[in-house]
Amino acid sequence: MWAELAVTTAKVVVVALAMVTTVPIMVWVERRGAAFIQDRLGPNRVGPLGLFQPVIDVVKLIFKEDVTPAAANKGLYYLAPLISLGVAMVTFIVIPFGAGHDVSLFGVPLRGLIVAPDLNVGVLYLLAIGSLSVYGIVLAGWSSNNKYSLLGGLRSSAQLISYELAMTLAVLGVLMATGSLHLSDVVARQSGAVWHWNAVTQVIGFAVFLVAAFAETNRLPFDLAEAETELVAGYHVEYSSMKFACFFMAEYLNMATASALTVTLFFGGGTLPGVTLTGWLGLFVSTAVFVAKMCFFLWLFVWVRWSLPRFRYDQLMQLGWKGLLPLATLNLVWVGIAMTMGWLR
Amino acid sequence: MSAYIPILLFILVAVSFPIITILIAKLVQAGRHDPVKAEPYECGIKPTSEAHDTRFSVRYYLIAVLFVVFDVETVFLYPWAVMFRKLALFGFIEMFVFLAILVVGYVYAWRRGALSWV
Amino acid sequence: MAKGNGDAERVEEVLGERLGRGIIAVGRPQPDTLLVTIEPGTVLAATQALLDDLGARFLVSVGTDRRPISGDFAVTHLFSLDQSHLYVVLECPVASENPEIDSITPLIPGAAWSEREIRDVVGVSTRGHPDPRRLLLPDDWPEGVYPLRRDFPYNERPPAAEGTRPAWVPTPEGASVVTLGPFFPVLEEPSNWRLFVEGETVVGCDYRGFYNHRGVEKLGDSVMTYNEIPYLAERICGICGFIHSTCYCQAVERAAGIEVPRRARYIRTMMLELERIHSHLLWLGIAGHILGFDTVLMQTWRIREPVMWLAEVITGNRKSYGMNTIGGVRRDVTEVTKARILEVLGPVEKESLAVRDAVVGDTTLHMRTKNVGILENAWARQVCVVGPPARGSGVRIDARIDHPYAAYDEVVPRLCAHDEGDIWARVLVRIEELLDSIRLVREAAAGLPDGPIVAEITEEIPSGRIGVSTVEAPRGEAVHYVLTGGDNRPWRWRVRAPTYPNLQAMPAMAAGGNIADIPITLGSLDPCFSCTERMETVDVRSRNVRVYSPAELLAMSRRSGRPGGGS
Repeated sequence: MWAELAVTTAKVVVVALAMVTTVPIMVWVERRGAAFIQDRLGPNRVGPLGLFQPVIDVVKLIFKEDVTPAAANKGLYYLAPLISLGVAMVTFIVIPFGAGHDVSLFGVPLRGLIVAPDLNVGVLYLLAIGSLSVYGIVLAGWSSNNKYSLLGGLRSSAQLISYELAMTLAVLGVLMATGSLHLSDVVARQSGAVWHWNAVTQVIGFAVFLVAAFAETNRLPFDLAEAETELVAGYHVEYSSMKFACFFMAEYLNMATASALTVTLFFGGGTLPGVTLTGWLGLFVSTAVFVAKMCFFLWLFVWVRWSLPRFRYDQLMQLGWKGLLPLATLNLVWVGIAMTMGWLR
Repeated sequence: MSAYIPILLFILVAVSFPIITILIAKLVQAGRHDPVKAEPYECGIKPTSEAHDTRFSVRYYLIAVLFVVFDVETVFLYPWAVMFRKLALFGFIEMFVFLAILVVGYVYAWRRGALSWV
Repeated sequence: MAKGNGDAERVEEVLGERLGRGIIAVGRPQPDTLLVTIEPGTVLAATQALLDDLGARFLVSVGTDRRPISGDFAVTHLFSLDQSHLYVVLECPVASENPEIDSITPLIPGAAWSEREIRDVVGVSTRGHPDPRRLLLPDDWPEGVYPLRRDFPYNERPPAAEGTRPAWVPTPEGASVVTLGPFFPVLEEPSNWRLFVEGETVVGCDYRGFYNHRGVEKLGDSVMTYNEIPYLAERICGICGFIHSTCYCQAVERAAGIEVPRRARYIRTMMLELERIHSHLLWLGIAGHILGFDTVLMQTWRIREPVMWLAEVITGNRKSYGMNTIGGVRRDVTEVTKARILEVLGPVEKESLAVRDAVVGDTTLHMRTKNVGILENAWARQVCVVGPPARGSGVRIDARIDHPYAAYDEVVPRLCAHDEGDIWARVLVRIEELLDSIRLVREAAAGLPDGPIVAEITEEIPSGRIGVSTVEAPRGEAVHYVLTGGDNRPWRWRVRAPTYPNLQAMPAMAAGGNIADIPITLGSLDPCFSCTERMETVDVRSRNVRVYSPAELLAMSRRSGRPGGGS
C-alpha cells in the first residue's frame, strides 16, 4: 500500500515538475520563435540565448503589485485564476507519457508513465475536466466588473463551448476505433505502423481536433477572448501580479495539454513504428518519442500564432458551428462505415 | 476506489501550487493602495456605467442552449462509440438513425439562422 | 501653374451672378489662388454656388482676429477646384461686436470641426451649426476666453472653470456604451471614442479628442519668426513632419512670391516620397498588429528602418530633419548620397513586394477587411475625406496632381484609387502608393538638376498677404494657410492635417459594424492625432532631460551595432 502510494507520488512529482518547467521553456520558445519568424533577435540578454528571461519574468511578476478592483466580486475574483491553473494542471493525470508496463519500482509495478493508470474513464475525465476551464474565464470576466473583461469572458465562454462540441465529436471517432476510454489503449491500438495512427485513418477528425484545440487554448488565430487590440486583454484586464501569471501559465499548460492529447489520440503517443523496446529502455525511449512528438505540436502552436491574423468573432463562430461540426459528424460516419466494412482494423 | 488516489494527490498539487505562489507574491510585493487604482479600467476615464449593467448579445444565450442540446446528444454517443465493435451492424444502424435525427435538428437550426452570428 | 487662369474668371463670373453686390473685392494673390471677399450674409449662397455650380471641394475654415488691423474678425473658407488646379479663398469679414456668421456645415458636413474650432479659439459663433459643442479646448477651460485672439498672451493660463465639459451625444435607447480610448492598446495617441453598442454591433459613436492640443498655431503667430516655424511645423507630426514644414514653407513662399530653385524642389520631392515610403510601411505594420498579425508589423518596420537611416544620411536626422527653410532646403544631396539612396531603395522595393504578396495572398486578411468599415463615395465627398481613405472610396484627389508643388509637375505621381470604399481598398491604395513612391524617389534622384538649393531672400516679407498650400501627406492632403504679418512672423497660421477631415468620417464607417471592426476601421484612416491636434511630442511636465555627451552618443550608436551607424 505505502509502496504503491510512494510510486504514485513519485509519478505525480515527476509529471508536475515536468509540466511546470514546460511553461518557462515554452515562453522562451515562443519569444525566440517569434523573433526567428520576424527576423529579429528576441530576448538575448538574460543568460545564454536569453534562456533565463522567463525566470526574470517570473521574479518580476512576483514583485508586481497585486491590484484588486474595488468593485470586483472578491470571492469569484480570487477563485477564477485558481480554477484556470488548477484545471490546466490536473488534465495531465491520464495522459500516458511513456511505456513501461513491465517495469517495477520498489517492487511495485510502474504500469507506464501515467499518473492514474487504473482510471478506466480516461477520455471522459479529460473532456470533463477540460470543460471546467471555461469557468475560470467566465468567472474572471464576470467578477472583475469591467466591460472589456465581461465581453472577453462572454466571447470566450461561447467560443469554448462551441469548439468543445466539435472536439468531442472528433474524439468520438478515435473511441470507436479503440473501443475503450483508456488512453493507454488508444496508444496501444496505434502502435505498429504509421498508417495505424488515427491521424492517417481519420484525417478529417484530426483536422477538426487540431483546429478546435487552437480555439480551446485561446491561441491566435482564435485568441478573441484576449484580443488586445479589441478588448485590451479580455477577461484578465483587471488581473495583475501572480493572479495574472496564473492565467498566463494556464494558457501555456493548455497548449501542452492540447499537444499531448493530439499526440496521444492521433499520433501514436510514445510508440515508434517498427521499434519494440521493453524495460527501462522502453520507458525512456517511448517518453523521449512522446516528448519529441509533443514538441512538434508545441512549435506548431507558436508557428501558427505568428503566421496568421486574428479571426473576427462572428467568423470564428461560423467556422465552429457551420464548418467543424458537420466535418466532425462526417468523420464519425466515415469511421462507422469503414469499420463496419472492415476497412479499418 | 484506489484508481482515484492519484487524482486526489494531483488535485492537491494543482490547487496548492497557485495558492502558494500567490501567497509568496503577497509576502514580497509592494502595495501602495490608491482608490483610483482600484477603479475598473475603462481606457483612462471614469467608468461610464457598471459593467454588470452592460447589455450583451442575446446570441450568447442561444449558443449556450444549442450547446446543451448537442452536448447531451454527444454524451449519448459515447457509450455507443466505445461498444461500437461489439454492437456490430445493429449498433451501426441504430446509432446512425440517432445521428440522422441529430442532423435534422442541426439543419433546422442552421436554416433558422441560429448558427449565424449577426 | 498658370493653368487655372480661365477657370478663375469663370468662378468670378458665377459668384458675381449669384451674389451680385455681396462681393466686396476679388483678388489674385497667386495665379492659382482666387481671393473673394464677400459680405458675411452671403456666405451660404457663395458656398452653394461653389459646391453646386463649380464642383469645389471644401478644404478648411480659418478664423482670424484682425481687430488690431481692420477692427473686425475674418472667417475664411478655403476651397479647391481640383480639376482647374485652383484654390478659392472665401473671406468673410465679421463685425467685432457679437461676432457671428452663418454656418456652412448644413451644406458641407465636413466643415463641422473647422467651425467648432473657430468658435472655440477665436470666438466667432456659427449660426445654425448642427453640433455646436466645444471641440478643441480642454474641459476646464473657461467660457469666453479665446486663445487665438490677439489680446490673449501665448503664455497665459486662465483659471480652471467648472461645468464647461461638453455633453456627450445621448446614448440611443437600448444600447450600451463601450469606451475606446484615451488609453487603449491600439491607439498610439489619446483619443476618446464612445461606442454605442447593441450586443456587439456598433450603432453609433461619439468622439472627444484634442487631448494633445498644445497651441502650435498660437506660438507661430506670437513668439516665433518665419524661419523658426519650419522646425516647429516639423514637430507637428511624429511621422510625417517633413510634409508640414514643406507645406508651411510653401505657403509663406507663395504669399511672399519667392521662387524656390528647381534643385531644392527636387530635394523636397525626394524627402517627401521617402517619408511616404516609411510612413506607409509603418501603417501597414500597425494594421497588421491591429488584426493580430504581428509578423507583418515586425517585418515592415524592419524594412522601414533603412529608409529612416537614409533620411539620416541625407539630413542628419532620422526624424525631424530640420531640412526645410523658407526659399529652399538647408542641405544638399551629394552624388555619394544619391548613390546611397538608390542602393537602399533596391532591397526596400524587393522586400516591400514580398510583403505585398504575403498580405494580398492572406485569406484571413481578406475576411477581416473586405466589406468592413465602408465609406461610401458620396459621403466621403460630403465630409471632405482626403488621402488614401478618399482614394479607397473612389474620390480621385491627390494634392500632388491637383495642385502640383515641389517637383511633381516633372516627376509625375500615379493616382492610385479603388472604388470599393472598404478597408481592403485602403490597404491596396497604400501598397500601390508605397511602390509608386519608390519609383518617384528614383526618378527625382535621376533627374536632380544642378543649381542653388535655396533662394536668396533680400526683402522683408510684406504683410497682409495670404498663401494657401497643400501637400499630399502619406495620410492625405495637408493644408497650411498663412496670412503674413509684421514683426517677421505670420499674423495667422492655420494647419489642417489630413486626419482632421478623415476622423469626421469615422462615425459613418463605424455604424453597423462589429466592435472588433472598430480598431481596424479607425486604423485604416491612418489617424495621426498629434497632427490633428497640433501638438509637440515633447513631455514638458517630466523635465527629465538627460544630456548625453558626444562620446556617449557615439558609444551608444556603436553598441546598437547597426550597419552604417555613425556615417
